[in-house]
Amino acid sequence: MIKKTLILISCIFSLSTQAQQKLNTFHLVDEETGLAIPSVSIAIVKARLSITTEKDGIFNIPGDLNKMRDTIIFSRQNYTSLKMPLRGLNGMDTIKLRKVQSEGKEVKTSFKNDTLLNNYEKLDIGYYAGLHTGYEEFNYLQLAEQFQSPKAGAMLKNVTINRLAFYLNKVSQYNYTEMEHTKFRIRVYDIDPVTGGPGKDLCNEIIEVKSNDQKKMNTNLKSYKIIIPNKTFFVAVEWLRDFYNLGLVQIYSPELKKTVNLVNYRPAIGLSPIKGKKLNIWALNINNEWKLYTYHSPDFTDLAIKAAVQY
Amino acid sequence: MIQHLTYPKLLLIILLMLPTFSFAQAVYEGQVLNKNTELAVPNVSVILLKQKTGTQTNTQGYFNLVTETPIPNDTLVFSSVGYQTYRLPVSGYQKQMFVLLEASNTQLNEVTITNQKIKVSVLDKFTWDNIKEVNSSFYKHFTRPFFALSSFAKLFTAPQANVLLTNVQLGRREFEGDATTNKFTRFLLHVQLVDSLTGAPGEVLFNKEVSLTDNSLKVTIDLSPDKIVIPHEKFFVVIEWLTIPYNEIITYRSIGFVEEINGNGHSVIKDEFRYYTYYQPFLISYEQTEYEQTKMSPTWEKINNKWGIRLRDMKNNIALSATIHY
Repeated sequence: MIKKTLILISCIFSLSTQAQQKLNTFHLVDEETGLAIPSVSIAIVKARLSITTEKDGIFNIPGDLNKMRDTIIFSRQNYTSLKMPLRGLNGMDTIKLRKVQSEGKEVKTSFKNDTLLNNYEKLDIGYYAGLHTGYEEFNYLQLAEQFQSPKAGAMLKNVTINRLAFYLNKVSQYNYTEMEHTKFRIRVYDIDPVTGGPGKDLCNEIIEVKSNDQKKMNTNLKSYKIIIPNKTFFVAVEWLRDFYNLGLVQIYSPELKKTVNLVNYRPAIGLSPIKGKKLNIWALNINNEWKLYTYHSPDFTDLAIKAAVQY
Repeated sequence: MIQHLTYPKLLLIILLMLPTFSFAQAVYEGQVLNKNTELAVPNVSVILLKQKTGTQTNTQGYFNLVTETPIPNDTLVFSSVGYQTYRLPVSGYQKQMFVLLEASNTQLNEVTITNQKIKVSVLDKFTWDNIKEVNSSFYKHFTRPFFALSSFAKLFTAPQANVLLTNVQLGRREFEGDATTNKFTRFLLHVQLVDSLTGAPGEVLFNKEVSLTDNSLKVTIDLSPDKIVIPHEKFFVVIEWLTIPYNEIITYRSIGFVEEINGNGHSVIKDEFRYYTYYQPFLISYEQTEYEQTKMSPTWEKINNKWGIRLRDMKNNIALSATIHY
């Protein structure tokens, strides 16, 4: 698996660099413990490249780093993001990320009311985000749905996400059918008072969801005891841009007069068939900035993500 | 196997299987047409008799009735003023079906007073059974989805010049195989004259953006308010696809096999899949009789911004017609 990810990076890089190259290997470690950090998101801004490392936190960049005029961003839940020029990596072999100190909190666990936010009929879902944007690759790290809880201080109980998944008829070795596999992470955010978009994480633990046989993915979050301090909160899908989720999409472009092949990462997330009054979809771009996601505007305003809260 | 199961285990299995029986949602959708004219009948009330729920057909004659808790042996009742009521047991319902209503004897004939008799003609007419797929043991009729990469044009020949184009009808279907489905689409409709030099679609007489929001198989685009008078006998009706997210349909196909080396150093053959994005609408290509084939209208397609005559399969026609008054 690691090999494949590295091959992928090398393939992409080899498009723009020379054939005979130096291979630079880096280890991503925790500043305090010195242990490897798994699944770190790495984005190279101008080149519009982004991958997620495997469990060992190792990544490779082929070529002469001194000649590269680009910016690299390392980001991971519970760690402070690190942004630096690619040249700055020259001579390094270890990159240290600083862990964010989590505050201990007391959590109220008895609630009177339950409510389901952003409900829709799953049969009516016909559109999906995460495959491509026009004739370009889908270059976002996360997509978030903005929710409005009836009361501040509510607890997030459950999240349901509808994804795009086909049944595959595999005939090469055995004749069998299976659904497309995927794994991703769920992130829960408070509102950022400045941008109005997703702000700080509301859950310090990593919520990883894996599915082999479901289009509708239901995740019980009760054990995480996620308290929503304000009425507005966000539930996001964080893609693991690794080999496991890798796919290819083909489209013919009448404007470009050719067929384009684009890399994508599963899962593509459904769009809610119900059109709301305002756009509630936010996207984290390769520069690590949250922006409103307007690709399906104004026809669609919400993602097919339901959230159940107790208050 | 069953004899090894204890009574509580068996009960548990039965209990676990129960939800699969109780969540059988039923969807009834289709179109109501006038049996004689094959025109859509709007405002028909569609009722599930035992369930006591109902809906009304829209301007395309389209209805969509969803019930969470279907009652067995229920009956769909279609009724409208001026038409004989039609009852259909739900066991006889077919996906996306056409319901044909017969005008009742008591229907008042519409009175029109004109100085001269107006003739109505449907050019390259298709019928509901041309576009409806049937796959039963005694009769089969298949259709195929048709889409052009940018624009498609059909040449119509009116009996005379200066006719009024009142509507365009087209067949619309889902993509075939395993694909996402959505009932929404937007596209452009153009009426163009014939370019005297090339014979291709030329001067544009009329443009309109058409928005469809239901699953009607037979779509009528009413152009009577637009008062389009065609100065020549020959004209083109052009459909232009819009490559916008609203029209996206995604499908997934195997593209063959790839050889991979697994962890033990052995070579393994694996299936390789790929997503494909296509753009709606999908028109209907249907097989026609030998007689119909002789009368087929020429069709054109725009590729890389250049019009060319479609090298088509003579057996199949694209369901697209034009209604004229003269």
